[in-house]
Amino acid sequence: MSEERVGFFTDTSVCIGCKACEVACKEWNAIPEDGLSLTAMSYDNTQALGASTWRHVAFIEQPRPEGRTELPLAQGESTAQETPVGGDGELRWLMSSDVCKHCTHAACLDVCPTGSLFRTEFGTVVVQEDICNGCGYCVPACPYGVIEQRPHDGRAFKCTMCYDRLGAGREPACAKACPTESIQFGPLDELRERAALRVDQLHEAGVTDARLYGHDPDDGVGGDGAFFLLLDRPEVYGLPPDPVVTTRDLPAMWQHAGTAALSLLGGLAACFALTGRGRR
Amino acid sequence: MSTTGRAGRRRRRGEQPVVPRADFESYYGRPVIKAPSWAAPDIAGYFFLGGLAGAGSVLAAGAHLTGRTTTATALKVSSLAAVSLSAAVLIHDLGKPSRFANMLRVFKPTSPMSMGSWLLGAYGPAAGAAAASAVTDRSPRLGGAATGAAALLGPVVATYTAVLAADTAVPAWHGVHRELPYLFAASATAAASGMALVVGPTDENAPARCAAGLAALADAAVTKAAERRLGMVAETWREGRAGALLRAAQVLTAGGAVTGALFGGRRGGAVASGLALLAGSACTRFGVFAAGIASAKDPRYTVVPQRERLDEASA
Amino acid sequence: MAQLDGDCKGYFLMGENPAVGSANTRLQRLGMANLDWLVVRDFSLIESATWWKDGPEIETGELRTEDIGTEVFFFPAAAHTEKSGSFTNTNRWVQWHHQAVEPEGDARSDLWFMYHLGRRIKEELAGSTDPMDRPVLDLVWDYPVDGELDEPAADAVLAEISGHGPGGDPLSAYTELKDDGSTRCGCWIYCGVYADGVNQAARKKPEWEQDWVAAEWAWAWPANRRILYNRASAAPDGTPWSERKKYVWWDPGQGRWTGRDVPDFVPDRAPDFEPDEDATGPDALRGDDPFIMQADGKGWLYTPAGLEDGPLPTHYEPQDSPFPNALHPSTPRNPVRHLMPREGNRYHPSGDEKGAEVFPYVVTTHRLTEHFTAGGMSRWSEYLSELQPEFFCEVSPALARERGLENGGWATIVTARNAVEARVLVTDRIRPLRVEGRAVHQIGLPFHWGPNGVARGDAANELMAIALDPNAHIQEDKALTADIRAGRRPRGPDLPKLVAEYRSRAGITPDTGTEVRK
Repeated sequence: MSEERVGFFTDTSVCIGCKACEVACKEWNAIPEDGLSLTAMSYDNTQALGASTWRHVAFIEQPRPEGRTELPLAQGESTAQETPVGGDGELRWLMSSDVCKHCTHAACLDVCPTGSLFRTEFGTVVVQEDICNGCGYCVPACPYGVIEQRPHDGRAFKCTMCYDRLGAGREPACAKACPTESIQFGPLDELRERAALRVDQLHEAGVTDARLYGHDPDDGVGGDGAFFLLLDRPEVYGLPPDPVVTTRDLPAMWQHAGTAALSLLGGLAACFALTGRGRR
Repeated sequence: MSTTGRAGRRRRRGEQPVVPRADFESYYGRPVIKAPSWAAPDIAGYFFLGGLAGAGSVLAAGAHLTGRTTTATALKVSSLAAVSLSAAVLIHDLGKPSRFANMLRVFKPTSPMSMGSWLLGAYGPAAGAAAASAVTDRSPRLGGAATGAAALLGPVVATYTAVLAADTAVPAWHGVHRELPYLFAASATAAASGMALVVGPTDENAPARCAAGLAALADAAVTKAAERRLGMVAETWREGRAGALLRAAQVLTAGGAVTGALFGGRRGGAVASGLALLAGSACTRFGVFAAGIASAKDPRYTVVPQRERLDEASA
Repeated sequence: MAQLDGDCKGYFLMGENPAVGSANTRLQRLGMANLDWLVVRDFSLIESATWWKDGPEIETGELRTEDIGTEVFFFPAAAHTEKSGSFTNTNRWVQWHHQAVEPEGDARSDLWFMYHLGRRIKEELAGSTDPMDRPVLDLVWDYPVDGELDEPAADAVLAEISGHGPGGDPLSAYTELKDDGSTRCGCWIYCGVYADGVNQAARKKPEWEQDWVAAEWAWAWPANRRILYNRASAAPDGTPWSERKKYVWWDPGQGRWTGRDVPDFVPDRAPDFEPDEDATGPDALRGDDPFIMQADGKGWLYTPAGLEDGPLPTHYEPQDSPFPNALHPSTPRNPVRHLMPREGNRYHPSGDEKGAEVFPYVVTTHRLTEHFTAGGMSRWSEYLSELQPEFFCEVSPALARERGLENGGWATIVTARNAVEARVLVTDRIRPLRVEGRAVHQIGLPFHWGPNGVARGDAANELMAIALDPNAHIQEDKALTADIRAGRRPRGPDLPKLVAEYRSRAGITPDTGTEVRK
C-alpha cells in the first residue's frame, strides 16, 4: 500500500434518505438500471447491494417510544385521546446508506482464483472487470452479501470506492453527493477518531442506541474500510452482527481435507489388504 | 408495514425443532449474505463427479496392484470420464469457455478454486494417461506411474471440494468446515465403490464391497457429527429439499452397502448395490449443496449464530 | 375553463405538464382537446403531449383521436447543460450557467424557440399596413446569433434586461433609471445585473476569497442586495443592534450608510432625518423608517388593501372536508373561494351533509425526493425511476385492516371526479386524524406519476376538484375527501361508470359544495 489507507465513515444518525449517494454512484460508474418494481419496504425500492447497486439506502420504520422526551403539543384532553385506532404510537424512521466494507481481511479477494480482485494502493478492494472470469466464488464468500454477478454477463461487480476518482485525488462520488455528510470519506485513522467522538457526543445527548459497526481492527474481518454509526443492532439494517472472514479457518480446512484424503487412501488400502490379491 | 420482519415466519414442513425458534431481527426478512449463483447440476454435479473420479483412481490403483485388471481398467476409464465431465460442467458454469484460461493466471493457496484448478490440471492428465494405457495396453510403465499419480492426487480431488464449499460465508457449509472433508471422502468412496460394483466382475468386487461398508459407516457418522456441530443451522440439513436429499442419501448409501455385502457376489445384487451407492453419493452432494443455498437465503442462519456468539462473548 | 368554453384557442406548454400536475387532470385534458392548437416544449413526450392518442380518455372511450380538432406540436427542449442562461432562486440570486454541450437532435433552447418564432412572425407580417401588426413590426428583435444552430446569445438578452443609459452605456442600478425615455431597461429589479458591461450573474468567486456575505457570488436582485430592508439590522440611531451580527450601519464620518451588504436605504439619509410635512413618496420616509417599499416605511403585519380575502387569516375547512367548521359553524368554507362547478368538476358533500359518508377518508398529496413535480424531468430517468418506480398510496395499518388493503397490493381511490389505482404502502407514519372526537383515516398520495415514461402510474391529480383560493388562485390539492377500496380500478368505460355511481350514491348535484354559507 503506497498511499494512506482511506475509507468511508457512514454516520447513519444524519442520513436523510435522499438516495443522492445511490444516484451519484450509478451516474459516475455508469451502472445499469436494475429493476423498476415497488417493494413496499418503506421507501426502499433498491432492496440490497448487488452487481448493479453499490450504494443502498435502507429505510426502517420502527415503533420506538422509549428514551425520547415528548413535549405535549396541546394542553388538556388531546393527549388523553391518544388511544390508538391502530398501532400508531411514536415511531422512528432509520435510514442508512450501505456500501462495500473494503475489509482488512477480504474473503472475496482471498478466494478469487484469477487475481481479478486485488488490494489497491489505497487499501481498498477492487475487481478488475477484464480479469474476472465469472466463477462466482467471491459471491458466497462475502460475509456481508455485497459482491454479486451481473445476470447475462456472469462477472462480479461491486463498489470500487471510485478507484478512478481516488487516483485523481478526488473523493468518491457518493461522499461528494451526500448533502448531510452522513457519508464521510478520508484516511481511515482519522475517520475512526472522528467516529469515536461522534458516538460520545450522541451518548451525551441521550442517544444511547448509537454504536459503531465495523470500526474495530480486532473484529472478524480485521476491521472494515467502510464502517458505520448505527442506531440499532446491525441485523436490523441487514448487516451481519459478527462477520468473520471465512479464510480465517482455511488452514484448518486444508488440514482436515488432507487428513480426509489420507483416510480415504488408508481406508481403501485397508480394504485391499483385507481382501488380498486376485479374484475375490 | 410489516417492518423489519421480526421472527413470526411461517413454519416450514418437516421436522419441528424441540426448542422454539429463536427470536431474531432482520431487514424485511431479506438474506444477509448472497447465495452462490452456481447451478446445482453444475456444481453439486462437479462435487459428485470429482469424488467419483478421485476415489475411483485409488480403487483403480488398488485393483491394478492386486491383479483385478478388469475392474482396474473400468475404473480408470470411469475416472477419466468423470473428470472430463467435471471440467465440462465447471466451464459451463463460467458462461464463456474462454474465461477458463484466467483460472491459470495465478497460483493462490488462499483460493480453493485456484488450487482445485491446478489440481485438476495435474490429476486430469494422470487419469487420462492411466486410462489410455490400460485400454490400449501400451506403455505399461507410464501407465503404472500415471495410475500411481492419479491414486495419490485422487483423494485430494475427492476432498478439496469440501474446502471449496466450506471456504464461504454460507452457514450450512462453513459451519462444518471440519467435518465436510470427511463427509466428502466418505461420499466419494461410496460413489467409487458403487461404480466398481456396477462395472467390475463379481469375482473382483470384494474390496469395493468392503469400501462401501466403510463409506456407509463413515457417511452416517460424519453426517451426525456435522448436524451436531451446526446447532440451529442443522435445520437446513434436515428440512426441505436438502433434508429429503440427505435422508435419501443415508438410506441409499446404507442400503447399497448392505446389499453389496449380502448380495454383491451376484451380478444383479452387485449392480443394484452399486447403483444405490452412486445415487446415495449424488444425493449427499446435492443435499449438502441445497442445504447451503437454503442457509444462505434465510437471514436467520446468518444472524442467530452470530448474535449468540456475540451475546456469549459479552456475557 | 376558457378552453372548455371555447374562448381560449391556443396553449403553449414550456416545462409544464398539466395532464399530470394540475388539479382535475381529466378536465385539463378535455380542455386541451377543445383547442385549435397546442405547443408542447419538453425533454420527453410527456402526458400533456400525447393525451390525444393514448391518454386515459382514449381508453375510456370518452375521446376518440379522430374526433379531436386540436393540432398538437411537440418541440424537444434543450436541457440546462445544453444552453447558457440563468437560474433565479428564492434567495433572489441570479446564477448564470454556461452551455456545456450542443443539444442533441432537434432539441433547442426555449430562447432559441422564442427568438426564432418572433423573427418568423415579423417576417410573415413584413409589409403589413394593418395597425394591429404595428407593435410587432416596431419591436426591436435583433439579438446576435451564434453557432450552427443560430442560438441567440443569452448574454445579450441579459444585457438588454439590465438596461442602458442615454449613451448606450450599461446601467449599474435601478436608481439610474429615468422616466424621461433616456434610459432603457427590461425589468427594474434586474437593472445592474450587467453593470460595467460584465455579466455579474456569472461571477463565481469562491467563498475563501471573500467574506461570508459572498456578494461576488452571482448577483442578487435588486442591486445585488443580499438581504432586503437591511437598514433594520441597525437600531433607529444607525448603530448595529448587535456588534457580533452587525450588517449595515450609519457611518457618521462619511455621512453614509455602509456595511457588509448594499444598504437598502437612501444612501445618505441620516438616522435622525425628518421629512418636511409636504414631502411625498420616498422623500417622505424618516431616517428610521427601514421598510422603504411600504408607503409609511414601517413593517406590516398585514396588508390593508388589495386582498380578495383578508386582511387577517382565519380557519376554513377545505372544499371537500369530512368535518364541519368548528370555528365558524355557519361558514364551513371560505365564502369567497373561487369555484368552477361544471360537468366533470363536481364537489363533495362535506361535514355532516348527507352523502359525505360516501367519501369517508382524507386524501393529501405530497412529493418524493426522487421525483420532480409532474415527472417530466425524473420519470424518464432510469436512475431516479428505479428508486420510486410506481404510484403508491400510504395508509395506516388500521385503515388497511378496515378496507382489506395489503402491503404491496393494489388499491383504488375514488372521488366525484375520477378514480385512480395505486400500489399500497401500509405504514405507521400515516396516522388517523382525531377531530371533534372522531377519528378519520388519511391517505397519502405522491403526485408525480402519469401514464408515460420509465416509471408509470395514475396521476393523483385525477382526483382533485378545481377549487382555488381567492387571493393567489392556488389549486386546493392538499386536502380532500375520497373513498378507498382494495384492488385495481376498472378499465375502459367501466371507469367513468364507477365514478358516476359514486356521484349518484353521494347524491351529488351541480350545487353540492357550492354554497357560501350553510
